[in-house]
Amino acid sequence: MVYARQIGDRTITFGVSGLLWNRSLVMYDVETNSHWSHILGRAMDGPLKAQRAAKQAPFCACSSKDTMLVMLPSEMTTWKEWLTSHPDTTVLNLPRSHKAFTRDFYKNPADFVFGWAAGRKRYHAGLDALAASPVRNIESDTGSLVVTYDPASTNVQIFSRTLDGKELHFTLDGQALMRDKETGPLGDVISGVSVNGPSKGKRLERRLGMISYRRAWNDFYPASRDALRKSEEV
Amino acid sequence: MRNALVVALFAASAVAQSGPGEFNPRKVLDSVRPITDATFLKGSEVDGQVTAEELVLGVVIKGSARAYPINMLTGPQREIINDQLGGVAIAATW
Repeated sequence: MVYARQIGDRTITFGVSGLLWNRSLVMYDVETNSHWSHILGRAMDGPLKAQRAAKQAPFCACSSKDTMLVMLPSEMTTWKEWLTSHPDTTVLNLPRSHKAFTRDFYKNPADFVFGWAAGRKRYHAGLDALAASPVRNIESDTGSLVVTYDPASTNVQIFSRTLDGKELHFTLDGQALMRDKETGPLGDVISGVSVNGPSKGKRLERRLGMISYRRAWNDFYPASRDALRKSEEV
Repeated sequence: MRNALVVALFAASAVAQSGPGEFNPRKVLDSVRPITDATFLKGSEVDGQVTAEELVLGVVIKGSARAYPINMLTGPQREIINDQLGGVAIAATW
């Protein structure tokens, strides 16, 4: 996950607290020594503990005064795919750990979900289900979505299926392309960019989502719904 | 919008009825000094520091792309990198 580490005018600096909560990382900030849930992005104690004001619209916590971190779009993918898609990228240069983190990390895909928020609700899609059928049209409270999985890189993305006011339905085409059933053009499953036809160059709006251990997602969002149970099979 | 700041939807607390429960963390190791001085390579300069099939956490802010190999983020002394990208102070976490 990537967060903006800004609270109001203040930039804060995070470290590993040495605490675990629900088997998940707890961060601290050196400025106030508040503790933060890594997965919730929220201060759980200390001076920056978020106030859950009932009158505050829960999903419009956009004010810089809120003690919730702003999550930024990020993706998990292979270095090869990232470098191809972002040739000007920079890359962290720390000593390697002894673990080799490749796609083998997902060797039991049923242990992972891709999760997102829509309105007040949380949804998830099992990585095993995405691997079996990588382009999934989904209806949610906040509109029509498509979740895509690229088997080569293991990159999962979520996009709005509405383009220029029109709802589209996608099917997988080949290895890493999706075809819009209504108008025919192909789109790239990772970038959401149409690669041919009249919509060439247009980009589906990317939504925010995250890969998580299924167990952790369930711990933090036990009411999360399996979006693929109602997935539209096209 | 790919590069737009997005509200932390996951953070908002729609967990009123059910959720992760009381904040009752347990200590498993000493706290670690924040990492604020990480160094970076250009992708084109990579020479074995990261390999093709390794997983990375990728982020783009205002046109600046950066990858954090999970291999380098993992480990109890790591987990969080305090960084600046595209003029925004960020924390990349694993």
